[in-house]
Amino acid sequence: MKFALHITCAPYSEQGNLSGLNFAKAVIEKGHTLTRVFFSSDGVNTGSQLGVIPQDEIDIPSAWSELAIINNVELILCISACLKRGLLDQDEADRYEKEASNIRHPFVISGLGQLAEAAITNDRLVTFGV
Amino acid sequence: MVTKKTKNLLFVFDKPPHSSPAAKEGLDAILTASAFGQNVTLLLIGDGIFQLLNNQDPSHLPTKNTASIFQALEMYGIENIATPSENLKNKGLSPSDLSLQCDIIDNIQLAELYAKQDQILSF
Repeated sequence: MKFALHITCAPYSEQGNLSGLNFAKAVIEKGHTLTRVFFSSDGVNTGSQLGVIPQDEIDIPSAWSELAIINNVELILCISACLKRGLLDQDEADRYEKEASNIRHPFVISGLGQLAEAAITNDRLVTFGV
Repeated sequence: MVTKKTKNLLFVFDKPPHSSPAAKEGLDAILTASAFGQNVTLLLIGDGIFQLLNNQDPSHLPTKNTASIFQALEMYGIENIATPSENLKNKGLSPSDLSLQCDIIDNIQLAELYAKQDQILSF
C-alpha cells in the first residue's frame, strides 16, 4: 500500500512528530511504500538544520532525514508555514534578502499542492497533529 | 492536469476560530484540493462549528479574518459543508446562528460521510 504522511506539529513540542516518525518506520518495515511526508504549520520546524540535540536524546530531524534518504521518501515543507517561521532554503533567502538559509538535507520547500497531490495519489494519507 | 481519478477528500475542522492558524491552513488546503478537481467536503465538528458563527467581528485581532474566507468557499466550488446536529445542540446553536448553509446531519449520516471518503485531513 502507498502511504503519505502529514505532520503538523513541531519536534520536541508534541508527541505527534515522533509518533509520525515511528509510524513511518513501521509502514516501511511492514513492506509498504512511503512516498512523501508533508510538513505544515509548526511541523516545518522539523526541517531546520540548526537544531543541536543533547547526546542522550533522540535527534528527531536527523532521524527523518536518514529515513528519507535510505527509503527514497520526499520530505516536503509547506512554503507559507516556512516563511513565517524563518525556515528558508537558499532560493528563498536570496529572494527575501535574508542572510542565511537553514533547510536540512533532503527536506525541500514546496506548496500545498504537494499535500493535495499526496492525498490523491496515495492509498492512505495519515495526519499527525498533536 | 492529469490525475488518475477524482477522490473524496474530507476536511475536518475541530478547533475554534482565531485561536490558532489551523483554520487558515485548513482553508488553504481545501481550496487547493478543490482546485485540483477533487470531490471535497468540509466537516465542522466540536469547537470547529464556532468557525461559522454569525456576526463574528475579528477586526480587532491582528490575525487574518478567516470568517470571511468561509464566505468565499461557495465561489470556489466548495458546496459540501456538513456539521452534526448533535454538536449544534451541544453548543446551544441552531442553523440560524451559522453564517453558511450547512448540511445538518445525524450520527448515522456522519458515519456514512466518513465511510465514503478516500482520505480525511484534520485541521
